Amino acid sequence: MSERLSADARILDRGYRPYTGPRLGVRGAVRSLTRHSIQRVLGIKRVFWAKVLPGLAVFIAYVPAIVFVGISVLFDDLLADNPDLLPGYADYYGFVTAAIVVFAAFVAPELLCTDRRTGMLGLYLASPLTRSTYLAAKALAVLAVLALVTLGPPLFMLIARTVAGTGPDGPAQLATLLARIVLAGAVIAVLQTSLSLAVSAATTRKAVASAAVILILLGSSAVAAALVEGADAPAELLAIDLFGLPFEVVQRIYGETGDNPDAAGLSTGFLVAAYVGWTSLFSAVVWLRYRRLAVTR
Amino acid sequence: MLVAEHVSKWFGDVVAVSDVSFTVGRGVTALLGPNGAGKSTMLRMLAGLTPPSSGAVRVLGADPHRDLDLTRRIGLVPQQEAVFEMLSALEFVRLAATLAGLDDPDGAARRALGVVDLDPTLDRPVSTYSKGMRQRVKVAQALVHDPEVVILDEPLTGLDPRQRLQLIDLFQRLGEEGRCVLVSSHVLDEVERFGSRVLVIAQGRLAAEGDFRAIRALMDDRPHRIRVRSDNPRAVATGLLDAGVVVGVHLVDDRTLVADTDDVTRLRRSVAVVAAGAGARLYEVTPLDDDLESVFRYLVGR
Repeated sequence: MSERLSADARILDRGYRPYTGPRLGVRGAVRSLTRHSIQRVLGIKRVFWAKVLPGLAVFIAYVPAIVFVGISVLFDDLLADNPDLLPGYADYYGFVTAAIVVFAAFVAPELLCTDRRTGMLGLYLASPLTRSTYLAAKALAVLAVLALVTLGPPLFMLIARTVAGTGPDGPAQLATLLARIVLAGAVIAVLQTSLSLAVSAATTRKAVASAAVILILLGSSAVAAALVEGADAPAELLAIDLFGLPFEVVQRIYGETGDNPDAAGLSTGFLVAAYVGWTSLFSAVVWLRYRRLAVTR
Repeated sequence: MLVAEHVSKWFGDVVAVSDVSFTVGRGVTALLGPNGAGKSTMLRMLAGLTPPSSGAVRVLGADPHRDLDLTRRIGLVPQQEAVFEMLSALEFVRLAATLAGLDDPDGAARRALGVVDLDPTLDRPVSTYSKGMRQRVKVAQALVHDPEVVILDEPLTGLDPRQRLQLIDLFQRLGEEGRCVLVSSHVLDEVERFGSRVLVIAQGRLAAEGDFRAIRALMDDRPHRIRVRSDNPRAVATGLLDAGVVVGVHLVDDRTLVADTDDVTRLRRSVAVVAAGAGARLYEVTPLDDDLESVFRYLVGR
């Protein structure tokens, strides 16, 4: 029915109208899905209870940074003589492991399992998104949320200390430290993202996936420690410690070694190879699982 | 005097008004639509209380949201109970006059209260007033600065029939004075009294605009329904069908038939001839769905 018009009146067609505005294509769809996924896991535009867990994790991640910045500003003179009184950037993650594990265990299951369980995946795949671009959007969202606790707090410390005049000396040092912080944050976030996505790809039950992620992280660490420290196995077996591996790589990024003397003997190249291997393996698992997944609705 | 050009307004993910365009001139125009259709949002944009998300709103040639001087030329009666309960009617309307920057706020307030038939000497707080009196106080504060444009959001809601008639008379007077009066309302049979020009909004989109009778005439996909009373409706029905002036006939009882026709004028011309030919006597020929309520129902229900 089209618009009808006379001298004194007009009736407009309120029926179906095709969309004539700009079409944002695949990039727009990926951007939109990433944004929506981030909002979902952070509880934005959701009920109060959906905000509690992410809010708590972010709080836990940032409290040490705020405390350290406060101490460095209030006790500037004392810290100038004893710079080791406060932990360095590489050691910061030791204070926020709880937040990192919580996000790693919570975010990907919330984003992947729910879509398959509710059938939303079928709707997404009916849009310009393909399985690959869908997974890319979800991975970006998980990465962004994890970066909130792996990258945000050290970055906050750097900015606050620089503004307060207790940061690195000169632009060159600042740039170096900034690059290390970004790289370190990404290293932790990428492995946790790939692991949690791989686990979430295997089940539609969020609780099972979350429990499995925590079990794999803590279990692999315990097994590696038992083998290397208890059974005198080669230190290279620490490469199966999925929890400790990225933190050891982070230490190397800052030119240091971690507290584990067995890991200190491993070369940086070996650790990086192990890191890349695990990340590639988990990513391949996710991709293969979704490539073969039958989407019926 | 009021122009909306491709106006849309959304609140987050909710689209309240979608691509609405219309023009409203002097006189009374009714803005109609079901609950949640976007009427109040449209009125708020016309009054400058909120800007459109896209498109443009023009009142007396200016943007009501940006041009603050325009507020002196617009009177708004909001849907909400926007009155200070502890003030008397005179104090409240005088406050509105003072805020409008009038030289003689007291005189203007008394005049405005007179226009809405309220006693300026009534010295008791607005909280003790009846619903109708409070509504008239709201109208008085909108008129106190003698605006060229008067926007009223559901002013008839909650009023008894006598109070409605008083306000409708007032709207007609304001329209006849050359003001642009835009009234949103649910009370369709009352709206029909104060003017025939309507804007119909449904689901945030403009469904129709213009004289509602002309809108009805444009509805060629909706046959007009005419009630014919006669001493022999069966014979009249047969005659009308034979003459091809109706698309359907329903015999209601032994004195009444209801005919559906695409051409009311032809039916009116033919019915007497058909009745005479059949030897039947005609008592009444009445259109059943040419009133505003039917037009509204067809528009928002389709």
